[in-house]
Amino acid sequence: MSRKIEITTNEKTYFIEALKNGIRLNGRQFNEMRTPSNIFLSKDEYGYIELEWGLTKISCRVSSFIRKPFEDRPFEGIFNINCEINSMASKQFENGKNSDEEVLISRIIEKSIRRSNSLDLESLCIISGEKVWSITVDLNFLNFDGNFIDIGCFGVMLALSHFKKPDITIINGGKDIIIHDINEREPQPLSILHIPICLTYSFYNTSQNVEENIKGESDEDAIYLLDCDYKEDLLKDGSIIITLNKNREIIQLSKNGGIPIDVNILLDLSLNSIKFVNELTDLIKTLIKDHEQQRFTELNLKLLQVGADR
Amino acid sequence: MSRMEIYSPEGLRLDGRRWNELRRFESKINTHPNSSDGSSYVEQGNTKVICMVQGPMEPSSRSQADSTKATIEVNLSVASFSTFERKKRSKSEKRMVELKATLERTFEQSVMCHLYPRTLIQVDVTVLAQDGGLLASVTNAITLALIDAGIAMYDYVSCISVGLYDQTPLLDLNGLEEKDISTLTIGVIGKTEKLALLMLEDKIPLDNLESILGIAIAATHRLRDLMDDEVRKHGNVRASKLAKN
Amino acid sequence: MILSPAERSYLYDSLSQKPPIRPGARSDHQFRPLEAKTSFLPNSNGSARIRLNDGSECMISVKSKVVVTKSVTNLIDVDIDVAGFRDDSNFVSNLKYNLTSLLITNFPSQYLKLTSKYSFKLFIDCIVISHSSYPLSLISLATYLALKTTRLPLLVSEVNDEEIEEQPTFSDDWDNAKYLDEAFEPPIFITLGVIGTNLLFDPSIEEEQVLENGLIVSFYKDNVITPISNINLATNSNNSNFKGLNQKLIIESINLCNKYCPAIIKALNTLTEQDDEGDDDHIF
Repeated sequence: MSRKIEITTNEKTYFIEALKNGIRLNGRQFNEMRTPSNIFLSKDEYGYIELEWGLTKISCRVSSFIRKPFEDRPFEGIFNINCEINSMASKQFENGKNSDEEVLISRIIEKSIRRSNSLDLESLCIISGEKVWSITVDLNFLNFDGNFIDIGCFGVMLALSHFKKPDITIINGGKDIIIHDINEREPQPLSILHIPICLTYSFYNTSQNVEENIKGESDEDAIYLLDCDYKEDLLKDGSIIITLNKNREIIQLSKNGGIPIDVNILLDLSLNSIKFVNELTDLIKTLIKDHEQQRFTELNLKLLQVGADR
Repeated sequence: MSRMEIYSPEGLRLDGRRWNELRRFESKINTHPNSSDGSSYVEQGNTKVICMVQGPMEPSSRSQADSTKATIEVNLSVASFSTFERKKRSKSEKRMVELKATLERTFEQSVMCHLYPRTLIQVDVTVLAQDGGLLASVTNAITLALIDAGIAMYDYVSCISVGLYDQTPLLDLNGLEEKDISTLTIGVIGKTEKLALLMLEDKIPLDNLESILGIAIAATHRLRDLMDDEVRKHGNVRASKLAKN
Repeated sequence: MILSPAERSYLYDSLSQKPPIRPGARSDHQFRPLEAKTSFLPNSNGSARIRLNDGSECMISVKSKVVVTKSVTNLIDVDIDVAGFRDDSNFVSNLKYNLTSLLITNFPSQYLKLTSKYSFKLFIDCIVISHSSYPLSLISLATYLALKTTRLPLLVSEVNDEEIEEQPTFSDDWDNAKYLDEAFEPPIFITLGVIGTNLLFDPSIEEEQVLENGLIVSFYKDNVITPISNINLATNSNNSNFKGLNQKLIIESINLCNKYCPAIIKALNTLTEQDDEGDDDHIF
């Protein structure tokens, strides 16, 4: 058994009462996200990022190597996400043993990013059937303050956008390749087709009567919170994870148990989410753009001018 | 896309159904009276599932006893011969763990677990053949087996898969359709519009969500009636046997 | 522990009588009543399900695949899955080993031969949905039924393809599919319980608890064949009656099996014939 964090009944009642009065203990609105802070994009290494989101902290590294593709997919590169949660993040996670919760977290991140083809696998092909890029993302959770899924997914997408793979030249008529050092030739960014954004809504049942709620006789009692912190996470009665992208496509929806959710509320939540999806997508793009700009300035390149004065 | 036409211009699908038609749904309860407390067998098209429930009973390990409510344990085993190409599946595969956790958590909410503190309800599911809608059929089978075991539930949990082809929602996908188009599986408790279970694994446009959910909910209500008919039929058979004695 | 010391002693004494008094009023060579169904899996070449009165149930599927004969070591692959047991547990491994070796050594591989290069490979998958007594004979009888009703598609291309680079082709019509061989009777396992000088066919779980030894006898083509092995049938319980095996009993077990097993085979054959006539696809 994992070491559970116990929350007293008093604390729980207080929390629920506060929710009934429209107050979250952390002072946020019901559908207000925390903003990522202390975002670190490595300058020395392509594809390493760290970020904080409230007190949740993650680090993410992208690495690449060249290997033979799978036999049934000779034109496609290989893409994997490793998601590591250990007791460093919080004592409720046990080392070396994957609890259901952990499997669900990594499955959803994987479904959102890998299954949805957000990374163009065909662009990773070098010589079909012989050599392809294999991209691996290692995601580490350093501190837990709720909402691993949204933050993890955001982090992975940021790292993938940040990553660049070395340039290559195919020689000997497609038999051999030269991998150019990143200092020799400008490395290539990955081709990212769309940026999936996960949003987790946690729900809380404030009514005393469970049966009425489950049978849908009373609707008003359910409260939905976006981006819950660790206390809200422990007290939640259920959650739903919606993954969307800027093209108004739902990439993944999952609700693994918890109290039932009304269809209309689901529709409302999904429609409202678009706003956050746009914000976060733009954030990733701005971050990467600024970073590129900064790198470029630091390189202090002078434009070579060719041509005689007339 | 494939060479086959998922949905013809005349409005027919691969197996001749229209967009809003369910596949043949057949269920039986109390199929294993001697080896379990509750059992069921569900056929949804060519997907075939056996489910057996043991309990509520004393858990074998102390850690499974919760002093406030019953613990539900689902063991899902998919036979290696269940697909056309034989394939051995490991129980520790991430996908299987995810399905198992999803099922456990769904039924924790719909079974009145607080009535059976310190007990274990063990659900063993065997999938004999799969042809699309695996999660849906398994959920329906578990619901029926729990009812057969006499375990108190708020209502039936009925589950169905729906896909989206272009702009048309297609109800109750078979294996071929499931391969090609994105699938949404929903589970509804009773005749409400509340979703107990929700799983979508591939892209669908946000604006189509409403129409898909609409048809899916109507289908779950129909399935609930079909399951209810079976339970009542079985109940009548039982009652008449009692009367004879 | 499913029996109290008093129950154990009572059962032991009644089973040691001459003739033994068995709990279900069975005679020493009588099987528990069983219910069977064959060919219910449309995706498999052959299938069978056996259910005993006590709720024990086993399902078998036989699937075939065309392979290049030289590339495989065995043409038969057996896999057993027992509910509640891990795949790598001793219990499952033993069952699997027993059944695999029985079939591999005794299965006439000419039935699977297609052309000079290609053969069918059979995948036999067993699922034991629930069981109380040692399930080997249950699995084995179900496998018998499944193999007996296994049908393989009819080859329409040349049998001799030594010279030609051609893959075998089959008739599209399932009605043309052929049984392995009308006369073929797959090998089976019979479990026997030993108590005093008595030998009990198909011991139930209660009987297993008090047995002095257990025997697994293989039977094929109207005769007992090797291997004959002994085993403590009461798994996961400590059976204090368990002791060495009297050699004479082995001889006697062979005689008994030679005498009664043909009847078992005959019963199973009748079963498959009856099932063939009945035309319902329902499993239950």
